[in-house]
Parts: sequence; C-alpha cells; structure tokens
Amino acid sequence: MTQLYACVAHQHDLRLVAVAAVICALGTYSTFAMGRQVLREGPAKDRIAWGVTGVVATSTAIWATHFVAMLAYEPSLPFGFAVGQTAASLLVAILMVGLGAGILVARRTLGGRVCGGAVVGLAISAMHYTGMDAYYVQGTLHWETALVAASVLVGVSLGSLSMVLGFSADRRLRRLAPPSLLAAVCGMHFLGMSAVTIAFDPAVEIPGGSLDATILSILTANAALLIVGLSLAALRLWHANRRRHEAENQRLRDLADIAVEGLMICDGDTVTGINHSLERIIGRPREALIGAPLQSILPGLSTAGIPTEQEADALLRDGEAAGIPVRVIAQWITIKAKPHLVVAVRDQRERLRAEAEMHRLAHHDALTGLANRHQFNEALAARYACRRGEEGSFALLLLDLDRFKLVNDTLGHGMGDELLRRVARRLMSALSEDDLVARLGGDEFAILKGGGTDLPAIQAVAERVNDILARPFLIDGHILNVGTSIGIALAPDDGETPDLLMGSADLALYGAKEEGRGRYRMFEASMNARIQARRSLELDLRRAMARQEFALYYQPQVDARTGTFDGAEALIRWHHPERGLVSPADFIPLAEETGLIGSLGEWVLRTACIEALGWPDHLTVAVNLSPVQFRDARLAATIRNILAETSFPAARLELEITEGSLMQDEQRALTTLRELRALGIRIAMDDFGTGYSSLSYLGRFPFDKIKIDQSFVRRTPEDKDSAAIVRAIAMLGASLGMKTTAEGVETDAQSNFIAGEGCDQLQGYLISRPVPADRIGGLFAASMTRRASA
Amino acid sequence: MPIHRLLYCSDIHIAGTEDAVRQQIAEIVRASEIRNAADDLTGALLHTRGVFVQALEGPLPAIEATFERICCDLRHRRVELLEFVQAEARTFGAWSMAGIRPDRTIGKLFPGLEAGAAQIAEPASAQATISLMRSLLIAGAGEAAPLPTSPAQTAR
Ligand SMILES: Cc1cc2nc3c(=O)[nH]c(=O)nc-3n(C[C@H](O)[C@H](O)[C@H](O)COP(=O)(O)O)c2cc1C
Repeated sequence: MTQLYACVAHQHDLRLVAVAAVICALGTYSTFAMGRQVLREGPAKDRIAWGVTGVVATSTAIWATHFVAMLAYEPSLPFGFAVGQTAASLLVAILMVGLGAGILVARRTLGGRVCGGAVVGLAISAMHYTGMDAYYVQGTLHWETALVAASVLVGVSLGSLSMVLGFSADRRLRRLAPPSLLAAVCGMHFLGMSAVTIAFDPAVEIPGGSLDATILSILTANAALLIVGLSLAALRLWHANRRRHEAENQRLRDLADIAVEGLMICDGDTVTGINHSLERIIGRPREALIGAPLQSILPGLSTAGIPTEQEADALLRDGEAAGIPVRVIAQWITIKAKPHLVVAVRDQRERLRAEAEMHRLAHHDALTGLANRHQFNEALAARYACRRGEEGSFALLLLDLDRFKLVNDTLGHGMGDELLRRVARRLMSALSEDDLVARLGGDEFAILKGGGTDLPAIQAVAERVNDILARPFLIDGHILNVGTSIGIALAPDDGETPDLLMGSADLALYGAKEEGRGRYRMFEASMNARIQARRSLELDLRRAMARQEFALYYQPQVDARTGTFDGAEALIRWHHPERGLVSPADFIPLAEETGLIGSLGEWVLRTACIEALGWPDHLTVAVNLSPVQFRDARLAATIRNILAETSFPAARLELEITEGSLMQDEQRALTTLRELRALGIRIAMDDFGTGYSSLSYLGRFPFDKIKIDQSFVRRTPEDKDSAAIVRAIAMLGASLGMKTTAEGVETDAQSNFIAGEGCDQLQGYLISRPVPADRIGGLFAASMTRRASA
Repeated sequence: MPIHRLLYCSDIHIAGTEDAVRQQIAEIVRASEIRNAADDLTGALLHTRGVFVQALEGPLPAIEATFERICCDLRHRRVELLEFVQAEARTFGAWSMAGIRPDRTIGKLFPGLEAGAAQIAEPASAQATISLMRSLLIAGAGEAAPLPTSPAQTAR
C-alpha cells in the first residue's frame, strides 16, 4: 500500500493524473449509460450501434487513461512509446472489452455479469501490460510478481463488481458502477505501476521513430475526450429525441384515446398500439394486448386481409367464447418510415341490440309480447318452404276467445287488454318451447305446433288450451269467464299452401264454435261444404234486407181469464227465394255475429210499430230484442226516433229481453232499462226460468211482465216440478206486481191449469199460430165485432 | 282493509304413484305457505278423491295475482270457481296455506266429504265447504301444518 501511495504521489505528475482520472471517469460513465441502451428493449439495429459505441468509448477511455497516466509517470529518465504496440494495446482493449460486453449481453444473469465484468477487468490488465510493452525507457524494468498479480486481481474483481452493480435492478447500486469501474482502471494501473522498478541502463537505447511524449499526450487525451465526449453527446441527443418522440406518441395516444372507435396500430401482424376504446371493448388492459399477434384479437383476419375500402364485419375476441361483433376498416400509415396498419374497430353490439329490438317490435305483438301476425306468417311460410317428407307435417291451431267482445264492450278496452295479456301468459304455460304462439289480432291467436302430427299429442294440447282458458280470470274484482274455441288443421293434408291451411283451420274453428264453443275441432273435408253453405247464407242475409225478403208474423196473446186479445208478439220470418222459409234459429245467430242484427232489429221495430198502428188501439205489440241490440248504448234513442217517426204510442210497445241481455254489466243494463221505461215502454222478461239465476234478476230489474218459458208450460199439468215452477212464478209475479204470460200453451188442460194458477196471459198454438200481418188485422177486427156484438 | 276470499275446486292432474302424488302436493303446500305468507294471504288446500278444494283469502290484488298463477298451473284441470266474495274477517287467519288430507276416521265424521266432489262443487254450499275445511283443520286433519295456538280467536 505504501508502495502504491509512494508510486502515485512521488513518481507521478499529479496534474496529468487528474486528467487521466477525468478521462477515465467520463469513460466509465459512458460505459454504463450505453450499456443500458444495449440491454433495453428496442430495435436490434439501435442496440448494436450503442453496443459498438459503448465498447469503443470504454476501451478508448481505458487506453487513454493508461497513456495519460504513463505520461504523468516520471521515471526521471528519457522515455518514449513504440507506435505499433501503442496501437496494439488499443486493439487488445477493444477486443477484450467487446468480448466482455458480448458475455454480458448474451448471459443476462448474475453469473454473466460476474464473468463479463471479469473479462472487462482482464481487458484493463491486458491493455496495460501490452501498453507497457510500448514503453521505452533508458533502463531495464523489473517487475515485482506479487504486485503484478495483485493488480490483475484488482482489475478483474473491481471490473466484475462494476458490471454486477451497473446492471442491477437497484438504482442506487447502479450509481456505484462507474466509480467502481474507475477504481478498477485506476487501481489496476497504479498497482501495476508500483510493481515496476526501473534500473538505469545507459546501454538501452530508445529506438527511433517512437512517439514523443508530448505529442502522444495531446493525441491520446484529445482522441479519448473526443470519442467519449461524442458518444456522450450522442447519448444525450438520443435521449432528447426519445423524449420528444415519447411526448409525440403520448399526444397521439391521447388523441386516439379520445376516439370513440376502437383503434389499433399494427406493425406487420403484431399489435403495437391500442386505444382506450378498444381496451374497453375487449375488456383487457392494453399491456396484455400490445405485442400480441393481430389474429389473437381479430381471428381470421391478416394484415393483408383487412379491408381498406369498405367496412367489413368481423368478430373481436374477448375473454368470452362468443366474441364481439364488430365492423373493421384499415388504413396504411407510415410511422418512422415504416408502413403500419391502423385498424378502426366499431363495436356493433349496441346497434345489433337496437336492431334486434326493432325486429322484435316488428315481429311481436306489443300488448302480449307474443309473435304477431307478420312473424307468424313468416314462420308458417318457412315451415312450408322446408317441409318435404314425413317430418314436414305439423299442426296449426287457430283459436279465438268465446266471450271476449263482451268483456271489451262492457268492461272497457283496459280490461280487454289485461285479459289478452293474461290469455297470452296462460297459453305460454300450456305450450312447450317448440310451439310458436302468435296473436293474429283482436282475440285471435294461432299456435304452430312443432313435432309432427301425432293426433293424441295434438288433441292433448288442444284440450290443455281449452282447459286453461276456461278457468276464470279475476281482474279488478270481476270474474271473467272467457273460454276459447279451437280449430285444428294438419299440414300438408289439410292445406297445400299456408293460405289453404289457414282456411281449413278457420273452418274447423267455425265448426268448434257452432258446436257450442269452449271446445276444439279437427278440420274435416265435409266442413268445406257446410261452411260454404253458411257463407252463402250470410251473403243472402245481407241481400235479403235490400230485397225485402223479411216479413213479420204475429202470435196473439190473450187474457187468461176473459180470453180476449191483449196484443201480439211480432216474430220475424225470412222468405228465401230458393230456400223457402228460413227459421230465425238459423239466421238470427248469424245476424248477431255479423252485426247485421242492428239494422235487422231496427227494421223489425219500425215495421211492428207501423203495422200495429192499424190494430185496435188497446192492443200491444211485443218485439224481441237480441242481447247484441240491447247492449247498444244508442238503443233508447233509436227506439224514441222510431216511435216519433211512426207516431206509435210507446205505451203499446212491449220489448222482450232475455237474461243474456242482463248478464256481464248489470249497471249498464239497468240504465238502459230505465231509459226505455222512461219512454213509457213496457219490458218483458222472456224465457223465464231457463236461465241460470233468473230469480235474482227479478228483484233487481224493473220488469212489467214475466214470460214463463214454454218448456215448463208444455209439461204442465202432468209434470209436478214444472207445475210447481209455473205456480211459483205466477205467485212471484203477483207479489212483485208483474204480469205473467205463459208461452207455448197447446192444450185446454194447460190453459185451464195455468189460468187457475193465476197467470195473466196465454200465448200458444191453442190460441193461434203466428199469422202474417194482414191476417192478424182480420183476427183482431173479428174479435172486436164479436165483442161488440156480444 | 277489506279482504276477499275465494274458493275453487279442480281435478288433481299429477302423474305418479300415490306416494309421489302426495309428495308433490306436500311440495305445493310448502311452497304456497312461504309465498302466501309474504303476500299476506291465508287459506287451506284440501285434497281428496282426486280433487283439490282450495280457499284463499287476503287483499284483492294478491288474491287475483296468486289465483292467476294457480290458473297457469297444469298440475290440476277443470278449475272451477265456487265463490269469490268480500269477507269481513279471515277464516284461516292462522294458516298461510294449510294442507288438508282427511284420513278415513276423520273423513267419516264429516259426511260432506264422503259425498265427494259433486257436493263440494255445489255453489250454495261454498260457505258450508269453508266451514268444513276449517273444522277439519281444527280436528287435526292438517298435514304437517302446526295447529294454531288458539284457533278460536281467529274464527269469525
Ligand atoms: C292446487 C294448487 C294450489 C296452489 N296454491 C298456491 C298458493 O296458494 N299460493 C301460491 O303461491 N302458489 C300456489 N300454487 C302454485 C302455483 O300454481 C305456482 O306454481 C306457484 O305460485 C309458482 O308460480 P311461478 O313459478 O309463476 O312463480 C298452487 C298450485 C296448485 C296446483
């Protein structure tokens, strides 16, 4: 140690030592600054350039340090340097530092750093002793082996340490690397110098052509400073450039991040940038996506395959299996003189959702959420399109609610809507997923049954639907018994085309309704004919009004006690030009269904009033009102008009209504009845006793007359129950202040019994069949003359 | 608050062995107990000879909603409403849904049951049926359902 101190302090020019130290410090600083560039991620070309620069700067620094320090060495003897060896020593330094650097780059482990550092340390020694070989002095050099070894050891170990520190993860440790490499260089050099003693030997000659010390010192110092300075300047420039670049990139990224569309930049097939929107769409962080191949984000698309002209549909891979539907378009741009691909990705989920919603709205019934007619037609057509062979057969069920109109008319549309919603829900519970249920409109529904035409299965479904819709609906305290009728047609047997199939199902539905509602019917070929007949009857009925094919017949009613005429009931007859006389039982329901009942009923009322005007003026005329007519809110006004038109006294008009008119909305029925009575018209309850709760109506509604149904009358007096009923009704009527009329009196025995029980009026074949208008006039006139003559 | 009460009968439509059917019905009762308690509904479900007779009482909206669900249920058929009225007080106040399955001895005490569904379905006897169901419950024919601590207090 003392030897070392003495060597530096006494044998060296300290000013030059300082210069050597500065060069060395700069050099070691640049070693690590550039070394780190090499190990950083980046383009290989840049890294190689930095590596070469770093190696050259480091070895030049080591070399310059050595020679400047050698100049500082003052052996007090003349000395010089051999050109060849001086140059060789620089070469040795470059080669060995390069080797060390290579190890460092190749093996990025602690071992690699130890090893690489050791080689760099060896480079210092190798350079030093090669350099010493270039040293000519007038004397002989004596080496102290132990110190030489120590110098090599110091170089190697400090060199090793500096590399371990320089590339460690800890920033503070990294700061210690340049000083330790400095220590390696300087320590090695001065230890090496203290190992040498020079004995003056005048016999030694400094060979000619060796470099003069001053020139050498200027040369080496300048060369070293130039190289190290230049490389440090380059580093600074590079750093500044990078910062600017980074700022620019950041600005670009910020811009890209503002974009609503997903954007991604690809270098070749590798994703190098991605914006926030795309991050959000994919649902994975940017870091996880950058560096990934394009195909991992857009499977099936390659850089070459991405459309640049027009947006195309694609699937974006996210975490889930399904993928995200997107539209993509790409554009080539040049970044750093290299073509890059910018891919714009538009998330289609929102749009597809909106489209699906619009599709749903277009295909579904807004009220019930079921498929609508449109979708049903499409589905039916599709079934026909793809059907061929055995599995192509299927069943179509058409249904319509039996008493929906009543609910809608009497309880309002709100109630009707709620009812339809519940009907839809019940249908869904009764059917399977494979069945398509649609609301075709109003109270019409259709079911497209999946899976063949196995008859028992289809019938089971129909029964289930009949059953579930026959159950009562409780809405806002009302009990609604609706029920449904179902017509079933099987494809393809019952219809070659969707239209024909619908027609068949419709006919079957007709049949179900005719049979009494609340049931299902399968289509049968014979229905065609029957329905055809019915259709033609409907047509005829419409024409009959215009052609005046209707006429009124009258059946007289007599006082049960005196046998004198009280009036007559008007009964409609239809003289069909071909069919002859058509029974009201056949055409009244049809008129009610088709709505013709309105005008027909008005015609009956008007005609009865006109014809009865000719009768003796104490006689009444009774006209039947259909429930459909009765529920028409304008009924009272219509009748008032007719009375005014015909000048027929209201007191002589009697309206006969049935229980059917009163059911459902009793409040409204009561109002109508009151209006009619306010006009002075009398009201009779027709067919009394057959209904469900006739008795309860009697107390609540203002009737003038009760007409006992002929089914009881005809069985009296033999049938005890019927007799009891007739008796009870007569008594009830008397106690409520209502007249009672017995209909369908056919025998004297009946007449006597009924009169005896206190009935007020008789009507039936016993008295007279219904007769045409011109004959009832005669009948009445004759009785008048009889009465007058009596 | 005024309450409503309804009574209906229906045909049991559950496939399986007697035990399996009974188990399913017990499951219906159990689920109904929970759901009805939440809806402030009370009532009883009697099943015998292939028919259900159920009484349900509580606020109108809850009754209507529950009955609609029951009407969507395919585990029974031919649901027939026997009574739907406003009531002064609850008859089954102590049971959110009591299952009743009369055994033979108890059944004999109530001849109305022996007459079968036809009698139960008679509209005039809705009140009688409700009384009968209540009597059965108090007599201990309830399935699993614990007897109320003091049924007399909940009687009308
Ligand atoms: C006979 C019978 C009685 C029922 N009683 C009730 C009842 O009191 N309360 C109830 O919530 N569900 C009752 N249910 C069950 C309902 O029908 C329905 O299955 C249940 O409320 C669940 O309906 P959700 O699946 O639509 O929620 C009954 C079912 C049957 C077959």
